[in-house]
Amino acid sequence: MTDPATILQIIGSAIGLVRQIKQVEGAERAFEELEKLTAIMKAVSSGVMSSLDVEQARKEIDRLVVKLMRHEELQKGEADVDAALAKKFAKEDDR
Amino acid sequence: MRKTIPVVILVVLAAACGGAQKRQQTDAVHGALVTAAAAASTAYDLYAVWNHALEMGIVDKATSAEDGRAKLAAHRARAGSVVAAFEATGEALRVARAALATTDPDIGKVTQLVTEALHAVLALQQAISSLKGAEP
Repeated sequence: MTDPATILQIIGSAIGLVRQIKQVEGAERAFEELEKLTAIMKAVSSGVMSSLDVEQARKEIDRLVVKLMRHEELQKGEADVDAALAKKFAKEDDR
Repeated sequence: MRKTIPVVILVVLAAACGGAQKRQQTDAVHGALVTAAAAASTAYDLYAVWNHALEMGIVDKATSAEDGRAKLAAHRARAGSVVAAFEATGEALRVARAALATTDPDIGKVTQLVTEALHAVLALQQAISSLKGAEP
């Protein structure tokens, strides 16, 4: 089986992240994501997963893989910042 | 015939027990994979919020467009290791998920892949911590 020490370390890190969320402004999205995943984790820990739970878990993992690989939010954030910088110094650039 | 029936029953029971055990193992591995995905997703969302606030701070403090662009470029070069770690974690999750989705997954192999995905999450969290420590 997967190394229990590693799993415990990950769960500890996840708890640390939840504590961090409470201190970060504008992290509502992280909360929503975590609640969804916590529901799946509860289904997993309650015993044998139903085929519906398994299917839901697989769909969530697929969605998260795309999210991590494409990192669209990060790219959008950078584009917003570039636009803010351009706006701040618009007159300077015109000169 | 009379002798073969109990033997057949025993074989079927043994197969059923083995199947139940394998199912439990598969569920446990699924659980570990979802845990890894949950931790990576939360790290991503928090990082996006933190990174945006930091970059907007650079814009606020910039003394010229050139100064702002240079400081943003320097930050984004440092942040490249985190973006690479997100991609590596996504790839590790994808590979483990694909191995788990086969009709008769090799538990040993899948467990190894899920463990690699868990380690990728730890490396990701380390990359984020290092970046936070490296920011001026």
